Amino acid sequence: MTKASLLIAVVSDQLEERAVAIIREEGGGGVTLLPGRGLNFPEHKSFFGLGYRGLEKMLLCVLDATIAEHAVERLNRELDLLQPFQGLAFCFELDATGGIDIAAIRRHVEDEAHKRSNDAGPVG
Amino acid sequence: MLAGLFLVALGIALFLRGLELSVFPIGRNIADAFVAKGMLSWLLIFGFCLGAATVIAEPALIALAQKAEIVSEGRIGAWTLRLLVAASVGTAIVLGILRSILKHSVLWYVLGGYLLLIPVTYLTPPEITGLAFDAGAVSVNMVTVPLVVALGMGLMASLKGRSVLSEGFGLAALAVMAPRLSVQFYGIVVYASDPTVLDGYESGVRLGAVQVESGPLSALLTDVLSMMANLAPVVLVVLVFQFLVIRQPMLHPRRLIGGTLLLLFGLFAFSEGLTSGLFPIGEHLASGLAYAGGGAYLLVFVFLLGFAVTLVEPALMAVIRHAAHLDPVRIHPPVVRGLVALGVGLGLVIGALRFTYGWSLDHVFAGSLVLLAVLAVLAPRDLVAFCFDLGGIATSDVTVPVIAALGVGLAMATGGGDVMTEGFGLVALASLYVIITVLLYAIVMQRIQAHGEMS
Repeated sequence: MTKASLLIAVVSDQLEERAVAIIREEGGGGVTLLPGRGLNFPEHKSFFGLGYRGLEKMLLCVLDATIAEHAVERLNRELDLLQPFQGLAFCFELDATGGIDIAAIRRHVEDEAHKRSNDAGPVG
Repeated sequence: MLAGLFLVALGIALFLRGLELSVFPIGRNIADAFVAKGMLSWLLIFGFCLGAATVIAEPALIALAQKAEIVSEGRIGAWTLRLLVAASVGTAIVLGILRSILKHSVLWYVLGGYLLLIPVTYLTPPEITGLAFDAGAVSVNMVTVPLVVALGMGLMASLKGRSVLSEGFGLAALAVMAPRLSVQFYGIVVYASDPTVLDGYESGVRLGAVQVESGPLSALLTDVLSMMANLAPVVLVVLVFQFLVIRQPMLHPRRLIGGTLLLLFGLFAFSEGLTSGLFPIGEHLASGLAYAGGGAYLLVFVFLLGFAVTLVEPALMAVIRHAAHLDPVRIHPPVVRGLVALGVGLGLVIGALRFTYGWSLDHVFAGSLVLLAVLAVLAPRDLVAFCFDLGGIATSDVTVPVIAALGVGLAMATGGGDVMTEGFGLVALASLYVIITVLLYAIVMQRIQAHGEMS
């Protein structure tokens, strides 16, 4: 029985496309994008001492649990999320899902990986 | 003519989609970058350049300035006039940005401007008043208004403790008023030295003012080129600041380019449709006024014309749609558009009444301003700036030419009267009554809501 996870990534606006690309590469099908504004920590002050609310995107995606974990790791590493003002990503397991066939997605991802290793085979 | 109307509809649809994809995100991202980097002085310089760039190459302003120069035999310089209008719009944007950051109420700025405008209008000869008024009307245009609005909204969204709805609006309202003031002062200065400068200046702004008589294909090409030339300074300002000051690549470039293409196609289809479909109809109807006789028919007709024309004003649709995201409960796009159209119709009816009964423009104007001030004080604080912006945006690319034609028609229908000052009265009243109508609605809705909560 494959488990599903909800992947949530909150990234600064300019990282949106790269984040979506990473999730897609990992096998995420649909990604929901929510525009948002966020206060950084430590708070970033702009003119007149007013706090800055940066443009952010929230990415939501339901994935196979192991794939989701892998995607979070890649997001963290490739988007430098530990640097300030970049964003964060996390995932957690879901009890139930509807409208999405996790097992099929997992099979699809495995097929793709298989194909890639086949393609790479003769070269390597 | 039907094809023209179809083009208008198609143009608006493409244009609005293009705005959502290109102009609104650009304004928001630039505002965001300035705030993120804390560059206040650069932001103000950007605001000034943007304001100036929006009008400097506007074909209607060029035509207007050339006309003024010819009529005044060179004493009013075409370039002086253009630079003056550009500088005043730029200054208005700078003031507007500071106002919103410092959380001043837009009411005092707008009322202050109007209060200055009344005595100045007394001092300036009617020829200059017409010119000044026209200059104000050309300073709002379909592409630049959304950009300026997006900048204001983006700034307030990026700052903690500022509300987009209550402080983000107000830039457009100031940008419309500034050229009127500055041109009138300029006129006073020129007139003080020579009182016959503008004898023979005829007011009236036409969208196709610079159209060249030639074959259909080259005419089409000329239209495209003049549209590009009009937008070029704005694009240049945005690009220069994006790459030299902010020094960040444009976000989501593919979306931006696609959006810009949609926007240009839409704009082109729209303005072609206007010149071939809507304007002839509007002008035909307006000139038909001369035979409509007087009385109630005339008023109903004037009202309906104003109402209908406002409903197709694209900048208005875009801004209202955008504002609706901020407060979906109180701002219903169809309702607000209807109210704005109602306001334009009402303003025109009052203008027509003034015409038939020979009321003095200054008295009507002063009375309306007092009403406006009272309503603005009573209205819910956070909606005041939005209402003022609607007043400025409502009289734009589509409404102003039709209202100008209506002014001519009315002057003929009611027998005599100075066409120039009438045109002035009509557009100014239309814009004032838009603000009054929307404020009134906001007050009533607030009362009803409060009443409902009590019982």
